Amino acid sequence: MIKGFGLGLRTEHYADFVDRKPPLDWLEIISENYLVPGGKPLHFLDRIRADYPMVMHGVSLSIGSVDPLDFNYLRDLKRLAERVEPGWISDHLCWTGVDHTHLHDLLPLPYTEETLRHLTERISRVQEFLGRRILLENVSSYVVCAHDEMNEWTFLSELAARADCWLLLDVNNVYVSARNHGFNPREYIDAMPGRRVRQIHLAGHQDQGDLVIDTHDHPIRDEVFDLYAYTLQKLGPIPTMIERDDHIPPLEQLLAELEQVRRTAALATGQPGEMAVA
Amino acid sequence: MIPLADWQRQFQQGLLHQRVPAAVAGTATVPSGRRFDIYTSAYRLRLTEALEANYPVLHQALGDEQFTQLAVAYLQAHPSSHANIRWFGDRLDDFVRDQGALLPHPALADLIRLEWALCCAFDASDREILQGTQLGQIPAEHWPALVFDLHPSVHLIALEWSVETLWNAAKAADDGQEAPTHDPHYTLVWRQQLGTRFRSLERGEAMLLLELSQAACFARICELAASIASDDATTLAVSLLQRWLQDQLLTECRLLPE
Ligand SMILES: [Fe+2]
Repeated sequence: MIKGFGLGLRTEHYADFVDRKPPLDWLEIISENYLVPGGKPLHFLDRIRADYPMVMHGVSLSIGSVDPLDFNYLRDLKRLAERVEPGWISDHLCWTGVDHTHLHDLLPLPYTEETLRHLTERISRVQEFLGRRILLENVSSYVVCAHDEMNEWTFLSELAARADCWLLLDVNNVYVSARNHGFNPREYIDAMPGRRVRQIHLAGHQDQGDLVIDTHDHPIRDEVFDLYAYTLQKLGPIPTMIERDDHIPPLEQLLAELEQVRRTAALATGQPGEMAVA
Repeated sequence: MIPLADWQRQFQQGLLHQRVPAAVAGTATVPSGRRFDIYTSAYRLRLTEALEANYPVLHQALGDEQFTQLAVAYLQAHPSSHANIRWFGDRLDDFVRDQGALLPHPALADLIRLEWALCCAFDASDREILQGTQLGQIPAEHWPALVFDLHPSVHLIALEWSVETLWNAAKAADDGQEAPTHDPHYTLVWRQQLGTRFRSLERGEAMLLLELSQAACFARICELAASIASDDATTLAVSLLQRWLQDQLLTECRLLPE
């Protein structure tokens, strides 16, 4: 059972987690980092898993691609899930390449009825194969398709209902996309189907003035904290974590930042945020 | 209305060839070109960094600018074909052999082979290591028919140049590195416990290890040892076997079926 506040597991912090076991409710792993035959990654995964609950977060499901679903990938993912016994498995609402090329980026989809149908069918097949519901995350974007038939929040909530999947709401991504495309981020949050949102991501970004870039290389900005508080006021408590992928600071710093997240959540929901005590 | 497949092909072509897809909408304040450029720059940067992660010493030997040139040329010729970015760069060896002009020194092609082998050894499958005590329990009459399995992380690569000097200089952060010399030899790459290792081999050891890797029995290994060190073939074979046990290269032994 995953609740409370977590961090993304990064190699820089392996030794901290093994040696000091800092108090933390759960960890999120990037599934692909452990979809390897053996060696250090799986060694540390097993050791750290013994002390922390985990969730799995993937980057290459490419659920929106028009290429066939990659069942080799899904088989490996399922095997990893048997090893990790994660609280859940998530990936992104995006596509990452077509015609068997992998671009390794989370690319935007046109928000059309055709895309909805395409995704609904594929999510159902993935969920059936994995034997569980998956979470899909809203990505940040810098362009929109000129032929969109609906906005992202309508698309997302409609998709979750049709495919009967769960959502990973990245509040920083909502903020980033809102700035880049000029919409009101609170309107987005208002449209979220609360009971389907099972996890929240927070992260830092870079403000370039004309565009905001989702870089995960800074602490969470105040504007994103505000939007997070608003989200919890609307949706109630939801397991939340910080994603940090670049300029990775000492673990202490991230734990302190997570404490700030916990306080924000406690204020917003009127409930003391649950935090594991070692 | 745009079909989903068209959007994706346009977008991908745009990323690969740096042109803005027609279906990308811009705004008055931020034109589509500036917006799409976020994706094209991020694509190049992410894959260049992935290549750097797999070839850290090559990166250091070439410097940022030359490494980026190589990365961009490679990316153009071989966009990633693996779902997991960890495998990006698997064809760099072939690529530079076809495009020799991209490297300032031919020895760097060998460095690429060494680094890729290290990369594969790093997360190759785990296996139980064969222990000396297990071998000690095998009756003498069975020894001639013994065959050995190598750990999945073991790679034996044929190199033309003494690239180990480049590696050592890079690790010591020594700028005044000696140029590698032309010195054809075999290098053994493997993982011991969790750490990757390599060492260059004398010709004799390389020959015997190659033979062993092809499931030759111990009698055959001794025969080959005799052609290398005629006076004391068994001592040579046994001392190498001991070394391989210590290095944790061996995972299992069994009797060759008659
Ligand atoms: Fe995220």
